[in-house]
Amino acid sequence: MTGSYLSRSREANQFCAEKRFEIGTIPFRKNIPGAEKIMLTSRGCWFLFSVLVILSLGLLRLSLPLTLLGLTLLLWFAAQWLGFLVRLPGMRRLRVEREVWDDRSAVATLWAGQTFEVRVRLSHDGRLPSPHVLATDCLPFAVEQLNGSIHVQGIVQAKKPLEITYRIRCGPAGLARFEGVRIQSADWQGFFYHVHFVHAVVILPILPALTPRAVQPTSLKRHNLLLPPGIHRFRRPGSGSELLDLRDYLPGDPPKTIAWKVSARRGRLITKEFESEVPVRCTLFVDTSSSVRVPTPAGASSRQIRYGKALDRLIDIAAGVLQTNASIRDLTGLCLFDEYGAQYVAPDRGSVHRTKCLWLLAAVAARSAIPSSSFESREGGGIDPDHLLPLAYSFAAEVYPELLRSAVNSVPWAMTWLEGFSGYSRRLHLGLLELLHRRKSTLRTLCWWTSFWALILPLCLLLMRALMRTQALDHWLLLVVFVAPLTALATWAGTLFLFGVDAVAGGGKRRRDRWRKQLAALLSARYGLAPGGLAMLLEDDDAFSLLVQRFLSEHQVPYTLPLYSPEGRYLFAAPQKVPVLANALVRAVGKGRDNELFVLLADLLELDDALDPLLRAVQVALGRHHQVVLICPWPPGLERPHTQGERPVSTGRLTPAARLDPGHLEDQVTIQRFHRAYQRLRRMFTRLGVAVLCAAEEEPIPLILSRLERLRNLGRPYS
Amino acid sequence: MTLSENQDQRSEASQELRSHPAVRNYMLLCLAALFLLVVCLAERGLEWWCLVPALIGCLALLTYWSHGPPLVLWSLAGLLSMSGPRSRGLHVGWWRFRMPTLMDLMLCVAVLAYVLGHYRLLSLVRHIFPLDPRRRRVDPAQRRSAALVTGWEMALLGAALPVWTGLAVVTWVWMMDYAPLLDMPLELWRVLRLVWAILAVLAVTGIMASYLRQTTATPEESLLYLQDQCWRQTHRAQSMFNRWLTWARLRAQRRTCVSRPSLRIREVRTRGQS
Repeated sequence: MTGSYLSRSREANQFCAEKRFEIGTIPFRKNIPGAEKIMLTSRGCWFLFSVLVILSLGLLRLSLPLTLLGLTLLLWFAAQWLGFLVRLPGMRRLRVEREVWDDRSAVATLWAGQTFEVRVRLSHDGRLPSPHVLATDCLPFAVEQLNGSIHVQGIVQAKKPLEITYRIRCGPAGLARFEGVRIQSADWQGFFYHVHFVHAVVILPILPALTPRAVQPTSLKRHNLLLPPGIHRFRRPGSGSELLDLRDYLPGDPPKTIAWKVSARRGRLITKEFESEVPVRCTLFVDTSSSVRVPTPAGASSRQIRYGKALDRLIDIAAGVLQTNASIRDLTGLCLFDEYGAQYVAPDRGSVHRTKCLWLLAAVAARSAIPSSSFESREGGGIDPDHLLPLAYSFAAEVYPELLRSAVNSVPWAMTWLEGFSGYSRRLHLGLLELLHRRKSTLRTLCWWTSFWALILPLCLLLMRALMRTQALDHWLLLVVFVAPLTALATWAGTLFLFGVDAVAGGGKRRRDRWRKQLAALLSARYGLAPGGLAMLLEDDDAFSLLVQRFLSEHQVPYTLPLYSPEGRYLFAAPQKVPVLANALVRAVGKGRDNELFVLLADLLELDDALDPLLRAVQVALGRHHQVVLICPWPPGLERPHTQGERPVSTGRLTPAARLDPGHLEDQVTIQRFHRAYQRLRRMFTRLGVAVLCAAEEEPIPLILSRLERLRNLGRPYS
Repeated sequence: MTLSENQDQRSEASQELRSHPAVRNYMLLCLAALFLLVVCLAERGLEWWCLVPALIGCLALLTYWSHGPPLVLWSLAGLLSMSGPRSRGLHVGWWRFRMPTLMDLMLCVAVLAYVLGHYRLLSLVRHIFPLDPRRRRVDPAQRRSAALVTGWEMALLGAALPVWTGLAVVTWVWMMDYAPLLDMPLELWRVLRLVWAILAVLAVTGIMASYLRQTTATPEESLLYLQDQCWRQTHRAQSMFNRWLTWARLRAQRRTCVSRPSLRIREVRTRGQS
C-alpha cells in the first residue's frame, strides 16, 4: 500500500480527466470559459474603450486631430470585426479527416500498450480563408500522447489544409473515442475570439495486448503417437488409440477390442479399454459489474497518482489465457456477467473466435462504473451531482461549446441572483448558507405577504370600526397601524441583508447553478427528455447525477466516485451478480463435456451472505469432475493479501504523528477489511477444493495454464 | 527534468522568439511609428510633452505590456485635448478646421501603425487567444507562431495605414456636409449623427449575424433553443411540479424501505461482518 488509499478515493476531483481541465480541488472556484460566442477579448475591450474616449474628447473639445484619430481607429476596428464575422461561417463548415496508422498502414483497431500515429487533416471548401486558427485535436482519455503536437496553427484555405500528426500509446483495453477538433480563431491583433468544435467522432476499440508470456506451459512428449493440435488424452475409457486398461469381456463389446494373447494366456476373453481423446476446454467467467469498474488510485505519491480499474487486470488475464490456448489450439469460452445478466460465448478455437472475444472484452472495459444502488432505486445512496459537475461542465465546454451558448442555453440573471435552485432531494444535507441560497424565493414571498398584510390589516380594522360604530377597536387599530409597517420594514430589511450575504458569499454557488442549468439543458435535449426534462433535472439530484454519469461514460471520460454513501454504505456492492454467475456456471456445466476448467474472474469480496447459490453451482461443477479456479480482482494500489507463512509487507517506519493521522488510520482499517474479506472468501472456496487467487499478483495466468496442463497431461482431473 | 533546466529551456525559447525576424520587424515598425508620433506632436508646439506618449510606448514595447496602446492613446488624448482650440480660449466653429492638415494625417498613420504593430507583437510573444483562468501558465500554443508571419502580411499592413486614414477623412467630410436639424447646436448634431451611424451599423450587423447563425443552427441547437424558451416561460410552474414529483418518489422509496425490513437487516449484517 502506498500513500493513503481511502483519502485519495474521497478526493474525487483529483483525477486525470480533471487534471486535463485543471479544475482544482475546490470545485466552482474558477470559471470555465469556452462557450461558443464571438467574444471581444479584454485586449479588444480596452482598445475600444480608449478609442471611444478619444472620439468623445475630440467631438466635445473640438479637436480635429483627436476626432480624426478616433475615427481612423474606430473604422479600422470595425473593419477587423466585420472581417472576422464574415469569415466565421466557414469555420462551421470545416471537415476533419482522421487516420490512425501503425508502422505499415491505417488501422481500425488498436492494441493495448502499442504505439500508433494519428494523422488529422482539416480542410474546407469556402472561398474566403479562415482567420487565424488554433486547431487542437481532442485526445481520447484512453491514450497517452508520446510525441508530436496535438495543436496546429495557421489559416485554413481551400487548397491548403492544416495537418496534425502525433504519436500515441494506448492504455488498457477499452475504447478510444476521438471526439473531433477544437477550433479557436482570433484576428491577428487578438481583439476577437471564437471557439468552435468540429465534431468528427471516431471510436476505435483498444484490444487487450497479446504479448507472449514468459511462462508458456512446457509439454513433454510422453507418447509416440502425436495427436492433432487441440486434442489431448484423457484417462477415461473412450475411443482413443492408447491402451488404458484390460478387463473381462462383456457381451456387446466389439470383437476387435479383444486382447487375444491375454485371453489365451488367462483362458477367458479379455477386452482392451482405450483412452479417451478429447479437447481440453476452458471457460472464463469475467466479472464486469460496477465493483470492478470503479477506478481506484494508485501511485507512489500524490504527484504520480494514477487511476486503474480492477477490471483491467481481469481483462489482461483473460486475454493472456485466450492467446495461450489459441496457440495450442485449445478451446476457450467466455462468459461476461454483471448484476443484470450474462453474455456467453461457447468454447471455440480459431482467430475469428479469438477476435470476437477480444472485441467483447474491449467493449466491456470501456464501460464506466455506476453505483448499483443508483440503478435500483435511486434512493439516497446516489452520488451528489456536485462531485461530477465541474468535470462534466468542463468537458461539455470543450466538446459542445455550441450547445452552451447563451443564445440557446441561457441562464437568466434573476434566477441565480434572486431565486436559486431548490434541489429538493438533497435538502436534508443543506448548510445555512446553502439553504439561504436556495430559498431566496421564499424570502421574497415572505416580504410580499408581510407588506400585503401590513396594508390590509389596518384597512380591515378601519372598516370594522366604521361598520360596527364602536371605539372598542381603537387600541387594536393603533397597535396595528404602528406595528404592521414596522414588521414589513423589518422583513424587507432582513431580506435585503440576507440577499446581500448571499451575494457576497454565494459566488461559487451562483457559478454552480449556472453550470447545472446549462448542463441539465444539454442532457435533457441529448437524452430525449425535452421539453420538461430540464426542470426535472434541476429538481431531481439523483436523476441529474445518473445522466451526468451516463454522459461521461458515453464519452469515455474517466471519473472517480465516492465509494461510500454518507450513511457509510458501500455504493458498488452488487450481490445480484452472484445468482447470475451461478446460473451461468450451471449452464456451462450442463453444456460441458468430459474435462472442463471454469475460471471465475469475479469480485466476491464482502458478499459472504449472498454466496450460497454460487457455492452450490461450484459443487455441481466439481461433482461433474470439472475444475474450478476463482481469481479475485484486487484494487490497484492496495497492498496484496499475504498468504500463510508470509510476513506482511512493511509500509516503512511511520512517525507517531503519521500513525495518528485519521487518513492513515482509515487506510489501515480499509486494508484490514479487504484482507479479512479475502481470507473469508478463500476459506469458503478452499473447503470445496477450489483454488482462490488474488489478481494483484502475476500468479493467476501461470496458475490457469498449469491447471490446463494438468488436465492435458495428467489425465483424470480428479485423480 | 529539474526546475532549473525547465527555466533554462524557457528562457532560451524566449530569447529565440525575441530574435525572430517577424518580432524584430514589428518592433521596428512600432519604434518608427513612435518616432513619427513625436515629430507630429513636436510640430504642434508641445515641446518636451511630446515625448510622453513615445516614452510610454517604448516602455510598453520593451516589457510587452498589453496595456501599452491604451495608455499611449490616453496620453495622446490628454495632450491633444489640452492643446485644442477650446483649451486655448478660442471659440471657433467646426468650419474653421474643416480640412485636416498633412501632420494630422501623419499623426493618424503613426498611431494606427503603432497600435497595429504593438498588438500583433503581443500576439507573437504573449498570447493571441484569451487566457484560460484555470491554467496557471501561458501555453505556448496560445501564441501565434512567428513563422506564420509572411511578407504579404507586412505589405498589407503598410497598405492599410493610408487607406484607413483616408476613410476617416472621408467620414469626417461626410459629417461636415449636412446642416443640423431642429435648430440644435452644430456640435451636438455631429455627435448625434456619429452615434446613430455607429448604432445603425452595429444593429444591422448584429441582426444579420444572428439571422445567419439561426439559419445554420444544427437540430440539437434548435431543440435546445426551443426547450430554453419553454423553460423560461414556465419555469416556476415546472419547478413546483417537479419538486412535488421528486418528493413523492423519495417518499415512496422510504416507505418501500420501511415495509421491507429484511433488506435493512441483511445490509446491516453484511456491514457488521465486514
